[in-house]
Amino acid sequence: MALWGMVIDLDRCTGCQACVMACKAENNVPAVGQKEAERGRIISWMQVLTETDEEHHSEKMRFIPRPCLQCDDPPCTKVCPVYATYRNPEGIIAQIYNRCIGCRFCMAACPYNAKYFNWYTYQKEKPGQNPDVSVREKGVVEKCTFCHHRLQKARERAHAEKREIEPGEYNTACAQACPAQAIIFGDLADPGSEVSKLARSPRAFKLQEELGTKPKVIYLTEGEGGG
Amino acid sequence: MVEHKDVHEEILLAPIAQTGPGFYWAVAGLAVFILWGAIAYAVQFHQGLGVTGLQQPVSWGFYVTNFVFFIGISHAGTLISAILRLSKAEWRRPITRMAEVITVMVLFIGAGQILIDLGRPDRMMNVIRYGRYQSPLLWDATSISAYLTASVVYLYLPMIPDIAVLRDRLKKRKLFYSVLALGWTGTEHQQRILNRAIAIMAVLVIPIAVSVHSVVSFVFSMTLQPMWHSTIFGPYFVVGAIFSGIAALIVAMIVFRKAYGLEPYLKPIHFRYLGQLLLIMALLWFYFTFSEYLTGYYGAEPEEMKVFWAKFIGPFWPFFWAMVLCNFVIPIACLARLSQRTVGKVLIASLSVTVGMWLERFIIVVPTLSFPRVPFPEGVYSPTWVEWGLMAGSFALFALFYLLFTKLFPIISIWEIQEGRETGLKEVEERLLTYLPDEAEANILAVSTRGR
Amino acid sequence: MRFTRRTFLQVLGGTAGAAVVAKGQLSSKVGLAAQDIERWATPEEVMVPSICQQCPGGCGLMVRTHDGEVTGIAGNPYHPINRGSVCPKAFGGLQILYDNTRLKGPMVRAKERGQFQPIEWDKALSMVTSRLSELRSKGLSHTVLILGGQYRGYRDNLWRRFAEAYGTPNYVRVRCFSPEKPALAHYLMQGVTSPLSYDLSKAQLILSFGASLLEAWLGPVHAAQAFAQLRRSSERPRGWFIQVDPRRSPTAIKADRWIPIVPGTDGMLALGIANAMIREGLYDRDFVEKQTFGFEDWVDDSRQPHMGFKNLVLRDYSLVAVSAATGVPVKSIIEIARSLATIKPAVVIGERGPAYGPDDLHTRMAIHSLNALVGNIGVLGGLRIQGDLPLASLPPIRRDEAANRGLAQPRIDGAGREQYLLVSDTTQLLPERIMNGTPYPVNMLFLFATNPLANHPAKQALRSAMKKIPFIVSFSPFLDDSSAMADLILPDHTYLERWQDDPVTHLAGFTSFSVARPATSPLHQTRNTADVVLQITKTQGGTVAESFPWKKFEDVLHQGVHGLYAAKRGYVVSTTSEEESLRKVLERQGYWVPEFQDYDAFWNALVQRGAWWDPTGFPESSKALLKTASGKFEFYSSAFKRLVNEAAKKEGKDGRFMKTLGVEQRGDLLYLPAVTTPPTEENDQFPLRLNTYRLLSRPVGGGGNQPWLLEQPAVHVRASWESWVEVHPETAATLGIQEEDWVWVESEKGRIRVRAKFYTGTRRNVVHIPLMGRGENPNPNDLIANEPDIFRGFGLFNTTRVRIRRA
Ligand SMILES: Nc1nc2c(c(=O)[nH]1)N[C@H]1C(S)=C(S)[C@@H](COP(=O)(O)OP(=O)(O)OC[C@H]3O[C@@H](n4cnc5c(=O)[nH]c(N)nc54)[C@H](O)[C@@H]3O)O[C@H]1N2
Ligand SMILES: Nc1nc2c(c(=O)[nH]1)N[C@H]1C(S)=C(S)[C@@H](COP(=O)(O)OP(=O)(O)OC[C@H]3O[C@@H](n4cnc5c(=O)[nH]c(N)nc54)[C@H](O)[C@@H]3O)O[C@H]1N2
Ligand code: SF4
Ligand code: SF4
Ligand code: SF4
Ligand code: SF4
Ligand code: SF4
Ligand SMILES: [Mo]
Repeated sequence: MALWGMVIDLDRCTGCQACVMACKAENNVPAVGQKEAERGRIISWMQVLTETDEEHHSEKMRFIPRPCLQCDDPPCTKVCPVYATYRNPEGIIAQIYNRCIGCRFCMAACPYNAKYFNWYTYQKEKPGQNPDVSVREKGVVEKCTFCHHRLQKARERAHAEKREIEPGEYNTACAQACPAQAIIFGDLADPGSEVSKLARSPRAFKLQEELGTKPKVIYLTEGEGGG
Repeated sequence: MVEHKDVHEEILLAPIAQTGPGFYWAVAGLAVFILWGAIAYAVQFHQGLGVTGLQQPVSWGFYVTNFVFFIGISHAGTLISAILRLSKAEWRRPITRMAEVITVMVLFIGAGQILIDLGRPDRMMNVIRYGRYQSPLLWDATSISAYLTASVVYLYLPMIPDIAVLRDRLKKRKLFYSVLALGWTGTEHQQRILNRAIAIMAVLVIPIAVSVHSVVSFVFSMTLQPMWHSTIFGPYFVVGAIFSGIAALIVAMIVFRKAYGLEPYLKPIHFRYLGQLLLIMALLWFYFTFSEYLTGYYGAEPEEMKVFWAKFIGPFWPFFWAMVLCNFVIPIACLARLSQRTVGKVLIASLSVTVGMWLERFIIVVPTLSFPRVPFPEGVYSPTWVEWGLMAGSFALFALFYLLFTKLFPIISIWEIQEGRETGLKEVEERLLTYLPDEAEANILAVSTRGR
Repeated sequence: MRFTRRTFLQVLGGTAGAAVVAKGQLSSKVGLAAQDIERWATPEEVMVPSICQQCPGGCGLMVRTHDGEVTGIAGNPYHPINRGSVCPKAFGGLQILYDNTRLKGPMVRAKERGQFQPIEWDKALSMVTSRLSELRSKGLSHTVLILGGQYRGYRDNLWRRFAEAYGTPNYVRVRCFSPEKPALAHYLMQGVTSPLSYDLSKAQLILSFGASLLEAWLGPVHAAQAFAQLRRSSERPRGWFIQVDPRRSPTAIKADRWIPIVPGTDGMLALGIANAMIREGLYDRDFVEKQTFGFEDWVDDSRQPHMGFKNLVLRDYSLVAVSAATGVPVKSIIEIARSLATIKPAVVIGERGPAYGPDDLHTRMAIHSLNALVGNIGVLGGLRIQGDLPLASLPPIRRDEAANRGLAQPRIDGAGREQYLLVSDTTQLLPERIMNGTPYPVNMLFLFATNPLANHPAKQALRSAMKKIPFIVSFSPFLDDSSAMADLILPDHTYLERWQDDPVTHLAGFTSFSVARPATSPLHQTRNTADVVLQITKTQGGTVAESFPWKKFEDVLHQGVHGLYAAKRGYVVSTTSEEESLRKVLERQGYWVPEFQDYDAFWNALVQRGAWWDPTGFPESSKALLKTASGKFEFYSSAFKRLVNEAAKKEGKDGRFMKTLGVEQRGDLLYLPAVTTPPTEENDQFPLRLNTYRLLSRPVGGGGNQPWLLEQPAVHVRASWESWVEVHPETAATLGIQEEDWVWVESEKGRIRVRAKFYTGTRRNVVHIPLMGRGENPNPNDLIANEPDIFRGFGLFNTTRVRIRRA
């Protein structure tokens, strides 16, 4: 069984937000508008967080693109009262919009703030949207799904052609867009895959690893030195 | 004997028998707030939770605060009454009913807060249809419904004899009271069964009540969030609940004492005892708060410290220090010496604790969410008119329920008062005698009666 | 709508959709249906290659469509510029296309300027053509001014052709980088006539003087990919990147070293670095000796002694002086010099869009000198040069008497004459000259892909000037500030709706040519402006019509692209990387295998895959890079000297050109990279310097109609929707300004109200306002002083002084 995961190289990430916008276009995530944005309600499944290094007079800044980390031991799914968010066998944390009761318990429980709420009806179906992804209604929680619909499509295609999914056939929109190739997506269960190799790099670390959430999005720290 | 009985019945049934303009004014006043709440909810239901001040990352605010607060208040009733009953505290007699009513009423309001808070109230039934027992929210649902059921029964059982009185003496609502009275005639057999049942319920209700606020705390402590993920949250919440419960009870007692002229029943001694209880709870609350914050501070886990400082000196300092003032400084100051102006002091302390405990709930819910572990843009939460409306409406609705209850049933248990007169005295005497070494018997008895 | 998965097409394996792209046919819904009638009822997913037009990057797109409706955008995985990745702006394309505020059809002015009513295309066109004919018959063809913005390729070609055939010298481009031409400094020092390119992906050290590599410049995607290479630690040592910029831009954040510099003093810094390199003997002696001219002192044919670069630098640009002027510590200067000398290959970039300040040319020359000192010219990982695109030449332009007469007139903007001798477009002067009717009044203005009333520093003056123009035609798809002044708007298609091309002839090094067919049929009554130009010329008859023998724009493309087919080099991008590398290897070794039987097959493949490129087609020898009179890199620019001498002959010693350049005062120093020491006087009234910069998320055109980008415009400050000014917290403290306060930013010219954001990544006395949005957001050009850069004819954007106070 595949275990989908992602490596994000912070040394390469330029904070450009291509991943952010790619995700919005791919997953029909709306812009919420100026008023709502001012109230802190921007929905950004992939969000570039910035960390300033306070020891050096904020001289250093770091960009941390943060999708849902697809924790293997996700605190968010534990608390859902209605099975509206759960871990599927390939390690993707599912989010079921038409079951969610909107209690936001999962949001409160996610240590990475990866879940977003539809405070209003932010959008209707309209041209330009991706038909593979449903438009969310008000009152439900949404988050990065590792572009799960792409897996389904890839799988159907492979199935129709009577073969297994090939490496690289299932890629996420954010990884595909990233101009710095800072995002590498693939199967962590396959030790030969690029993600697996990078995940074992000495630069690899996990966000809030001490919480034991076992994220499947793994970061690489900045490198040192020049030639 | 008979006269005695009549006097009690007259005084205690008076609010039910006649209704003055004060009642209508009160109802009208409350209705205004309830209407505000209703409009607020209609707007929220129609447009979505966007009409609140909630946002990313502060996704819980007033509603959840109110939920925890109201559920906390509910401990006033059933739990305290049960403890007093089981410990055979004689002074409980005029208090238990009032306390129990609080529980039942406030549980509805408290549970309602969760419904208000749902993004998709239309899918409320999913909790039953697809309920997932691993979620603390389900624990809450279960334990609150159990508590509600138990509390209703526990409220109802001791009311049966009084309902029978109402059935017999009141001209109106005959059918209503007849059905509820369950054919009570006051035979010794009936009385024995009733006492038995009350005793069983009293025992049953205590663990349920403790469980309720423990699981409410689990909603927070089962997460990994800074200053939520704490092992003492269960008892901490229970202590806080009882604390706020007693305060709310005292306030209710003083209000109705004044409104219905119940001074003969609710004497300063009652308030002194309750005041002392409140004092003990204040100290206990302080102890828990102190150890909670000290461990956080000493460990100095950076993410915890962000929240910690936010409460102490950051944006939440007014709330935090107001909480300390209300929950500790003021009650201690008021309750330390209660020999004079007891009622007034106890009232001030109770009001202060009620406010303080609400702030405590707020200071638990909001700051943690405002300071996420990851460098997520920090959120500033400020509630909107909708949330204020629903909060005001909730309080008003609670008051209205309570008020209506007093219009249907005696707020002080008539038969228990009578029983106190008839059998209580004797019982206490006997019981006391059993406590004491024989030789000192006479002396002690003399002291104790003088004390009364 | 449901889409059957069965019909999902492999990215490029489109059958039904692809079959319709044979020349000239749109893949409209109707077209699709006709091609495949049984499938008509089944929604079909088709991937259409296109080109992103949100910045000069020229990235290839793959547009996902369902029955002609656009449902997604991604990078074209085979496109050589971006290899499947894109920047955030690419996705804004969806929102441009489906923008509700777009113009739905031609509009004509109703009474007042700024009020419009719809008009039929035919009527609208005849309004234009009758006026054009009238002006031409009156001998006033030269009074037609065409103002063009950021685009290149055949659209530029058509407008140029139109101007020439019709007879106006006034085709003026609003542009700071012209992709067809090298930077003036490069031309003067290397004699090159095609733009240089920077081999960023192979460089080990990049030193950039304010080029916003990762945010703006020539396209952030291509640069970010190179940056990723620099950061790859497995295949080679981790590269080193130094950014010189008054503000800690995201690019500077990603650099290994950020050098906060006093704005406008980059030339000083470059010469300081040169000083350190020379002093410590860190420069590439071999290269400097053999391949450069003017390094050492020298004597000319008439036995006149001249100072060389070395002594100039040692004499005038001591580290202490440089440090004082630039605000960069001596230690840092020496460290940069040492890095440059030790980390190879190194490349130095000094090609910022806006000018460095009044001494722009010499600043650029000074920076460019560093490239010679490190000897990276014509080496892998250093400076390269663009190869030519072998496009077929179009039939010659026919000119009649009227055209010749018109073309003989001086240009309105004064470019190429007097003090603007070296300048091809002088947009900065337009307002004044239009206003005064010098040298003649403008009778008609075409606005194509530019919005000067928002972006021109003299926008107020231009607005009044435009009131004097009797007839203004805008081709913008949106009602922007400038279109609002038009008499007629003939809205262009947006880029996903039209045939277009994009020759990327910059930065990349290799040549490439992209072609896109419409990804969707037009949503509204708009027309590709290129087609409109063809339609207009038809009505003019005579030589004008003869110069445009095409029916449609795609015919032009079809004709031009034939050259690529015939060139027998390069190839249509491959769909597999194996095939690609095989072809590359073969071609490098001199074998070129034709892939297509005939031109039609070539064309079809090109339209289906999106681009042609030639990974080997650029000259690699230093000969090709050093085309000066001496055949060497010239620290002392003989080409410059020649230009000045010619000018002196033409206009005499007191001519405007000579005067403005200060030929007399500067003497020999004029031809050397000798920057003048900037004045240090304080301005008490306006103590702060204003820097305006481009956000990565700002598309050309401003992006006011792209909510995704406006909502999350930047990550280095927390901002959303509204514009802001970045202030150092300490500066703010002295002004009593709190974070998020509304403040007035005031200059001598005007004031704007924006929110203050604290940002420690800046020099204390510089404040920064991003260029952002369109319309609603306050425009920093309300503050910018209208100072022209004499070598580029463009505005000086970063010389303005401001003050700030709480609003
Ligand atoms: N995203 C995006 N990309 C674009 C465009 C766009 O609108 N949006 N426009 C295109 C166009 S037209 C152009 S001209 C180019 C411009 O491309 P760039 O020149 O790369 O971009 P700018 O943001 O204008 O300026 C770059 C940096 O120069 C800094 N700077 C200002 N003054 C000085 C100085 O005196 N010295 C130094 N060393 N640095 C200084 C600014 O702080 C800024 O960070 O970008 C093109 N690409
Ligand atoms: N303060 C300050 N001002 C500056 C600069 C600065 O650094 N600071 N930089 C300057 C520089 S370098 C430049 S190059 C100029 C750029 O200034 P402009 O040439 O005005 O460039 P854009 O902002 O790209 O405006 C392009 C316009 O074209 C229109 N348009 C968009 N898409 C299409 C299309 O598909 N077809 C047609 N026909 N029209 C379209 C839009 O209405 C848009 O307003 O700005 C300058 N202004
Ligand atoms: S697209 Fe890549 S470089 Fe850009 S912010 Fe995302 S991860 Fe970073
Ligand atoms: S990152 Fe948050 S939302 Fe995603 S799986 Fe982990 S806990 Fe759940
Ligand atoms: S908000 Fe929805 S997904 Fe999250 S815990 Fe509640 S029901 Fe589950
Ligand atoms: S994996 Fe897909 S859903 Fe998740 S952030 Fe990336 S693009 Fe968005
Ligand atoms: S770099 Fe420019 S051309 Fe490339 S995707 Fe971004 S906006 Fe488009
Ligand atoms: Mo530009």
